[in-house]
Amino acid sequence: MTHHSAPDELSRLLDTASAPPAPPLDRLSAGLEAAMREQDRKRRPVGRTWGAALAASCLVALGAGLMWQNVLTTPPDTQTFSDADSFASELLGETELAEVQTTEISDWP
Amino acid sequence: MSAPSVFDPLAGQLRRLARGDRAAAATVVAALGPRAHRIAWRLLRNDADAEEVAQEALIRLWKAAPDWVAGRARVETWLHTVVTNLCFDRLRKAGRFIDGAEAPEPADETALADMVLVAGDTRARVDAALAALPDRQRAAIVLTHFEDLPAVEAGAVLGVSVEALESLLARGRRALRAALVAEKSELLASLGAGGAR
Repeated sequence: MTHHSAPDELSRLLDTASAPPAPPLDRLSAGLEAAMREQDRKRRPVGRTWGAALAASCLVALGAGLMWQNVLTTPPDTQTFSDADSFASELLGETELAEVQTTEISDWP
Repeated sequence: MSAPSVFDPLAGQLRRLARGDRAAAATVVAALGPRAHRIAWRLLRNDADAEEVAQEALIRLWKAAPDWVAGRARVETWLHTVVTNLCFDRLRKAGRFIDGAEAPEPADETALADMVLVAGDTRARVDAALAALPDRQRAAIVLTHFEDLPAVEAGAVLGVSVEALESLLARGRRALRAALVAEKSELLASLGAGGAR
């Protein structure tokens, strides 16, 4: 490159060209940070939405789980089954009684 | 065959930048901003445009940071390419882009010199001669002469081989000589008397 070798006349002339102004590093930094903040701001609502949806899903799942656990662990309606058992035993008892009574009647002199 | 890995101390900063690290952003701007701004200014010759281009290029670098593959290319070369292309885009949109293929070589050494006779001093004459160059030739001179980039890197920035870059440089220097020949003795004498800036 011409600049690395001994400067020729043209290179010396080029060195007289106007120099650029000082780079506005503060503004460039601020601009980049503003872009980063803008992206953060755009991402945040999406994060919130997803977070809210996830929390709602968790709550629904937890509720469903608790309800299912309740179904599995709650003992059967003992009164109803007890009534049925007693009804069956009463029915059986009446039948046996009837048979006994029948026997007794037929054997009656 | 894989491309040779390129060591780049800025790649680490770029990884931090990708994670939104504000300190890394400041470091990257301090490291890359000045040269990006200088290149843009020398190609566009306008403070506001140069700042906008440098800003846009840095934002594009930040956006590219998450997908950056370390070792594939130098961060600085990538940024200079973006800056140069953004400048060319602006010049095209403004109808100011001068393609080297379209620009005729100066027919004689006074053709462009006439353009700079109106300039008042050495600096203005050199500025005018540079401004009259086709844009890719000017970019080649800006990258190699003013920014001291090696030919390989300047060629990569302009998307051409080293041979093509040398051709751009040769044509650019020929045009500049033609533009400044009439004043060369006078200008060099003034440099000798006043000292180069």
